[in-house]
Amino acid sequence: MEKRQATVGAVEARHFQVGDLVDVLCDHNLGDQRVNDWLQGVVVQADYKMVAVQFNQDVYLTDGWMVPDRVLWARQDSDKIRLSVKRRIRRRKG
Amino acid sequence: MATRTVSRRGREVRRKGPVEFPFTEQDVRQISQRLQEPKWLAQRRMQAWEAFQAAPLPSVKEEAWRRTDLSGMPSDRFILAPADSLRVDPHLLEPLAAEQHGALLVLQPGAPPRLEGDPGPEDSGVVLADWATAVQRHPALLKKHLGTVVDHGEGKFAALAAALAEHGVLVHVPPGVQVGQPLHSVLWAPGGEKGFFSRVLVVVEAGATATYVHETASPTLGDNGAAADHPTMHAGTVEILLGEGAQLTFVELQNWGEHVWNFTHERARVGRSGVFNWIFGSVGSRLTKNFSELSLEGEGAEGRMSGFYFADGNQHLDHDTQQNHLAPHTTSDLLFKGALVERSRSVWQGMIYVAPGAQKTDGYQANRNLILSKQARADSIPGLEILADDVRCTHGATVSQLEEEPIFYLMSRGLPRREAEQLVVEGFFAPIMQRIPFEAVRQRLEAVIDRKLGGGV
Repeated sequence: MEKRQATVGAVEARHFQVGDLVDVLCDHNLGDQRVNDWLQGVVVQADYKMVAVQFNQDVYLTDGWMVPDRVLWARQDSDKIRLSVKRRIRRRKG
Repeated sequence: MATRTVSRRGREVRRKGPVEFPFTEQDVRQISQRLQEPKWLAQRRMQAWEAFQAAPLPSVKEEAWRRTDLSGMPSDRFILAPADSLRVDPHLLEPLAAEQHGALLVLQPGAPPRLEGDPGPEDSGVVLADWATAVQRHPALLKKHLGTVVDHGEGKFAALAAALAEHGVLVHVPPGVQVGQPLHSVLWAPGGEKGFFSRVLVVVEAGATATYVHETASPTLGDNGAAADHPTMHAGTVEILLGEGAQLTFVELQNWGEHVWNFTHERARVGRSGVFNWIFGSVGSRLTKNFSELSLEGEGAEGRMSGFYFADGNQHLDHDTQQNHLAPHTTSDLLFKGALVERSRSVWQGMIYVAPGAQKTDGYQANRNLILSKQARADSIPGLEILADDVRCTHGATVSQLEEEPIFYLMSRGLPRREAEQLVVEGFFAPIMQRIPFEAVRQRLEAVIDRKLGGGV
């Protein structure tokens, strides 16, 4: 008789905290083109469920609308957010 | 002369009536002998057995069962047998709260019960015991209280549980004792084509305080309809007594596999100035019929009932609640919230009863349902029966679908639709989740929501 495990789920560990440098899979500009790729940002708010990430360039929804304050939200367990693999990218001054 | 050939299609053969259960009087006697029960308890079992035999299987002609049809229940396939030896889901054994790891009692029919930790300081007299231990060491408690809250005459399944229960939990908190750590018990009963029966008796004496979590669970058997091929049943009773000024938080989580037909009769009797906080979580089983009754018997008693249910597939969850105000200045507050996906169905039928003379009573009941699939259905039937003239009783019921506006706002922050919908559903349940005093339990339930939404929205 085939069995599968009980329907209770695992308790997810908390992943991201405020200040973490993260990459988010989102629509943004690369040169002259709009791309859907990983973009670096900083976690500006986080709880056990949600993360808010601030970017320093324009980001867009999948239907093309720009997100005004460059803040995207994601669930803590979303596969569209990960700890950044690159060092912090400094903004050009002036 | 040419002859015409008339072909006739035979009618589908249908069962004419309910199928008999395979249990016998000999089963009742054997259970009683195995537990080495005293004569009075063995006699009570036999009385319950007689009540079970005398009662017909509930039918949709009865009001309480009008929306829950048992005619398809394969009663003849439920055999008294030990549970499979599958190890207990480790998530059920985790501490309820990081800094609060009280006593844990694990019951698995066919295996010795396991008690970890101490229910309270050694000299406090707090009892958290499995049924065999309760029968041997605490017969006076059982004799005094067992069956005084839920009588075996209340229904066929209450009688069946009283006659055949071999597993159960006794919780006793002596007068004035404050139990700091939560008490936790788990009934884990994996297996197909079996019948499991349990009893829970909780007695919190005058001035005592406790928190108790009771979980019933099993894994679903197989996929692709295999669950229907190996039906199993559970019938149980839960009896709760709160003395004068006692306080109890009771969290009850039902996560049976989706092959289990589950029936429970539960009642809490709250004494003068007692405070009872009752929290239900119901996410499992093929079919559940649950009778829960809160009886506020002493002046100034308070009770809160918070229910959470989430059904998917072909699940049918039926909760029948009753809030009895039997004394003046009593307060009850009921909130049941449920979500349904796929072809599942829920029934909530609630009643507030105010007895003559129970003046200055404040009773409230609300049932909110979220329908997430076209084929899902929720029936919500609130009711009031008031026989006093200076009371405040209100009720409400809603059945609704996901609103687009909050989903739009979440999507405007880059969340995919699916995640946005999950968040809105979690927000819908938040008022109930906040009443569960353990983070680990909340997160487990949220994980169940996520899993069920994975196949639903």
